[in-house]
Amino acid sequence: MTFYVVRRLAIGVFLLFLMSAMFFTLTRVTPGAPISVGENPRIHQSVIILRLHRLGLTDEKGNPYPIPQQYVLYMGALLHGDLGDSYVYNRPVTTLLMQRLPNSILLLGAALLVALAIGIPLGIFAATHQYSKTDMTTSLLSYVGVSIPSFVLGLYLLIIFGAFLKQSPLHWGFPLFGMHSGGVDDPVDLLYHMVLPVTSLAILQIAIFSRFMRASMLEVLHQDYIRTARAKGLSIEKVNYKHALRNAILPIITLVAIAIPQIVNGAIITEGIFSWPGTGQLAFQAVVDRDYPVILGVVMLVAAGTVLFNLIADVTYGVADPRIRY
Amino acid sequence: MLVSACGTSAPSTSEVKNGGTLIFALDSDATTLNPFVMSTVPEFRALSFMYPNLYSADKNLNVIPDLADGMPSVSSDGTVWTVKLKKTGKWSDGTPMTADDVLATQKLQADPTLDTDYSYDWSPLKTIEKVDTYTVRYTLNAPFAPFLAVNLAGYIAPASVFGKVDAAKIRNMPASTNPTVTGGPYKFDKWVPGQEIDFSANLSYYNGRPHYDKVVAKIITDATAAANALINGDVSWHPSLGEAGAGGISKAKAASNVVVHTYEDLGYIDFRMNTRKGHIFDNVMTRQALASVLDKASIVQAATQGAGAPLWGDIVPASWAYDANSVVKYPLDVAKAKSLMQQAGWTIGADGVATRPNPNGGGTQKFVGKIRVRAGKPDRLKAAEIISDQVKQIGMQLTPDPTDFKVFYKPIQQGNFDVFIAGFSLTLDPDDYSTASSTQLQPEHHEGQNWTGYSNPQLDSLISQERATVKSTDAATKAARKAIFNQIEKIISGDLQTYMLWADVSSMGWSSNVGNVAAGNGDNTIYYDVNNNPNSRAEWYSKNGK
Repeated sequence: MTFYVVRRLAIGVFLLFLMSAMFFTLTRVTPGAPISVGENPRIHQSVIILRLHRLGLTDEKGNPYPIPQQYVLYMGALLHGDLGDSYVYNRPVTTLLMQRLPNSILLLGAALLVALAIGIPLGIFAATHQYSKTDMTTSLLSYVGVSIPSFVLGLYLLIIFGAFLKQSPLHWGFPLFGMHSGGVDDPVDLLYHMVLPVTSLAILQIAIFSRFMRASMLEVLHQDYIRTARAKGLSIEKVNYKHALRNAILPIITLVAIAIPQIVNGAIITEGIFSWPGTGQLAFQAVVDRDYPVILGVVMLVAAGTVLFNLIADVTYGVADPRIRY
Repeated sequence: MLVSACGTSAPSTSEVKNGGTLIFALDSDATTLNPFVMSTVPEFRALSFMYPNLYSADKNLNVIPDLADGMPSVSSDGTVWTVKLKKTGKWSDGTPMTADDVLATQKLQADPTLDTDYSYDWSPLKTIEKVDTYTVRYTLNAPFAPFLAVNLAGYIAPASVFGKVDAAKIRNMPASTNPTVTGGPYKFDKWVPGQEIDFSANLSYYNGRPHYDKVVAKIITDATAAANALINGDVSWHPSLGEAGAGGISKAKAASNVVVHTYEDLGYIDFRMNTRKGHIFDNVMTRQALASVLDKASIVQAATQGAGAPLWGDIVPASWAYDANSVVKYPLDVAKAKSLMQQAGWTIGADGVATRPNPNGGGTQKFVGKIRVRAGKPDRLKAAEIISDQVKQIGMQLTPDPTDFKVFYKPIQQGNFDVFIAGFSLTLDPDDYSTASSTQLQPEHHEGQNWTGYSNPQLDSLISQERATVKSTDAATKAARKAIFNQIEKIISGDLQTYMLWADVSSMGWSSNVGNVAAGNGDNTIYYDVNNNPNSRAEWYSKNGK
């Protein structure tokens, strides 16, 4: 097991290295520069050189570094934990990420938890009550949930709560935009601000989790060993929840493992709609501004998260399924 | 098109009360809170709560004193401008606002190594002197009329903070993220990046105590969300309501708790042609043919859905220099357009495309070109598509070419383009030197935004005249300059130095709970925006005290 984890970590580091080289080159060869002289025709040449040098694009005299040399400089700093300074915000990328990351984790983590808490029991119930009215209704609603992108749902929620329900008691006073000044220090206010964005993100995930859980559970429930367990005289609850669920949950672990790195990535469009100050918004603005260090910082963070959580998922398989050995 | 205000008028000042929090919508986060580095509209909106102006704009966009104690006295030759300061101004650290602050601000703005994307131009200034603690004297190289609205109507920053800073490293100084010494109506409290910027009342503000206790600039990047937040009562001021489009504006107008002002703004969109020799629009008759074949009113309506007012000259209706009768208009006349094309030497071929003997030497030149237009600007792209369709009637084959902003201007600055559709934001002064004077041609000269290549000595002379016309009072200066601007507008619209499309029509929305909100001529509330009038922030109050 230990050898397996170490080997996977080594492969992960190699993958991160490859991805950094690929994304670094992509940002550098994309047309357009972070500094556009069109924005200020009077900008002094020395200022342009200073900025380009600070970005690691040129030497102190303004002579451009070739891309491989820029990459070596970038990696040198990265190995010391330095992701560089944002060109736009003039602050370290790590500072910016640390400001935004907790907000994304809060929002997307809450959405994921809500989705798991609702989606999995819903899927189990639908599978154990196949073709019942509840099953039919759940299936229909999950089709609808899967079909509506979260940003469309977000806009609908905005319009419904912002305009139609404004004077209605059903409005419940939900604010339409991001966190308020109190932040995590005012949990009640924070919860109010989270309701609409979490709802718009969670509905799609609830639909996905419930559909997967239902399908997976149904497959397992038709296995011979389940029939055997029933024949032995075990109660339906014991068969369903002890024998069937443990096997049926495996595909969900993969789904969750894929979903968790997305928490770090943020939800670009939903964060935009609800003005949630997360990494998604930061990444989107960085792309618009050609803020190379921030783009790379977010990409590396997501890549590292993906590698790490995939490893955790694989290890978790072993815990959930004793048949798997490393 | 002007749409009148709806909602209630401002109450009498006897009802004014102190207290409450003003939450307003910023459509993107600030990247800095350093006034010298700021370059975007949301940043200037944040700035306007924190820093004083020397001069401001009133509701009809006349320049009025802010920190200055009265209008400047100008010497008879128009070159010496003396400004007195109010003696009651104090920075938030308790030190008085003096001539030293004015000098330090100017010095830093004029530093060529200042690391900023904002374009400060102090080239008309010869010397600046401190006459006494509260008096500053500016001596100019020559009389310069825009000096008041362009150079003096701006922020003043504390010398104690910015007096000795290295201009090249200004972005990274502490005041860029934590401006502790300010002097506007509100003081800086905190900035949560991506989320909000908080301010609290500056109780020793020189124009009197601001009525709100707190102000929160809430960053709401989605235009629909911001409009709904205004309707929902989550924000009380939405300065860029127009971004929500016609639907968002009409929803806000329909809400009983919202007051909306819609007005023609200080900005325009135009169709700028490369008039350099050998390019397809090098002949004035070709440009007149284009103007005659385009149905401007329908283009503007279809492209902007009411967020644009058709324009013929480069002075917008919001400006004091605007005169609807001074411009040359080209009514829709396809026959005339075809005739002008023939006179310009173009012949429409069997394929429907006009050709002429190639002025660049040998063979023929086809009337084929690209309309460079910024990607992500649907109104401009729509206009480009309609224009592209309408000009086919006279053999012009122009294809819209949507381009990302970061790569948009480079070929234009090099003179390597056919046409581009661009937006220009204007200052309080209507001077069009940088976009119309031949001294501002680019790439022929390093600076300037006259990318069209158009050069006309008569126009240059008139622009020089209006810039040099300075009288003893602002009103007299305006009257004298307006007569010259009328001639300038005739040339620009007649020769089609550029083909104007529309003046921006903007909308701002307030909660009806905000008191002392007043619009100027044409329902204009632009004087509330950016840092045109910091004092107006102090005058607003919450009717219910919350």
